[in-house]
Amino acid sequence: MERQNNTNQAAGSSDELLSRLMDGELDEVGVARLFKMMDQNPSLREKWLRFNSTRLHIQGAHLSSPSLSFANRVRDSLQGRKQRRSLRRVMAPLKPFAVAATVACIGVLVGQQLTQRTTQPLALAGSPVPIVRSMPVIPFLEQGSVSVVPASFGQSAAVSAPSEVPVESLYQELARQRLEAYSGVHAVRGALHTPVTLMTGSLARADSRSEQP
Amino acid sequence: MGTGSALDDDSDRLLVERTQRGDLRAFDLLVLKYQSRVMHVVMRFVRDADEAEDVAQEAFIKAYSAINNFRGDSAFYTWLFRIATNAAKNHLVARGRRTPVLDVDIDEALMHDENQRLVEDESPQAALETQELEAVIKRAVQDLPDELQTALCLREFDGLSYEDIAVIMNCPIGTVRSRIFRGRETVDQKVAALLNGEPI
Repeated sequence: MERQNNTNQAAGSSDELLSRLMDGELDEVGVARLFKMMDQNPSLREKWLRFNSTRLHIQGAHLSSPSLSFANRVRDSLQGRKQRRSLRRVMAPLKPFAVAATVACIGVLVGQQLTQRTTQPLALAGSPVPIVRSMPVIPFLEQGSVSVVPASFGQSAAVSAPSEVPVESLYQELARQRLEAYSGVHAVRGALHTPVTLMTGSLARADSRSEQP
Repeated sequence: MGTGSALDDDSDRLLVERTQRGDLRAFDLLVLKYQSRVMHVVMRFVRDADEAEDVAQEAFIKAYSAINNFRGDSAFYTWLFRIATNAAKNHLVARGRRTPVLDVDIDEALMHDENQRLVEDESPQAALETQELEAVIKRAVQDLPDELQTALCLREFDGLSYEDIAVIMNCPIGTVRSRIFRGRETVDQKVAALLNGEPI
């Protein structure tokens, strides 16, 4: 019974504080007390809404019935924004560290990539066979001086000239190969065109025709 | 008497100052106090009730974000009114709709609040509820004991201070405070009963 009386008294005092706040008759201490009471008793919000709505109606304004849902939406939205802002504030000192860590990670990754590239063999980078006028030059060198490099794209091997062979000697070798080839062809053709052929061929027939009366 | 009166000034100043210090509960009380008035103003631009509610909510959020810019040169409601009308106009522009050629003046809005009922904006049920609420409040005030009724009316209609009412009623300020509170409390009991669907 006594507890109920105390509760009623507290409710009465909180309602009176609300009434005084409406009239601007409450000081800072009173407002702080009222807010503490409102934290414990959320129904005071509804009472505040009704008090203000009643005042408007007494003054002759024709407004719709009071509802808490709108104010709840605004309050929830503002609370969400406030929480996000405070979270951002907490995270703000960590931001430079996060940026530094990201930059360090990128630096390490790029460094690793560069190191791998410089240590890779460059044998496959250039053409394995020197080209002159689109003809490959295969030097007739000693067996041991020609190396076979495995091709990067398949199982077949590509022939590669040793890097110490000078370009001049390659040109000389090309000239020698061509001369040999031409000499061979010339020898074959020369063997086919005998003097007999000359005498019995088309030229001989023309000569005999011109000698006739 | 209309919206944003001198009656509200002291109370609003107190709540605004607390809001500026980061107390969201103080702003919550301002929202509860002004929500219907802001909705009413926004509804003059945006006819759809759901859209108007969104715009009103946006207006309150903008007001909270800019509360530190409020210096108290004008009444809080005047400042809030401007934010609400701008939010409503921006909403119409964003939706590709034309804003009203004639601007809504705060005094005009006041007159509108006092003398015009926006029946076209209300559903029949809402209009009936509003009528019923008005009738209950009117009857409750009329049924108040004389001293409570006089104190409450001098405060709410005439906007007199507690000191002035004390002089007029020839009683201490504490008595005036108590009478006004008891008058409000009695009326509120009937309003609460109506809203909760209880017998009055």
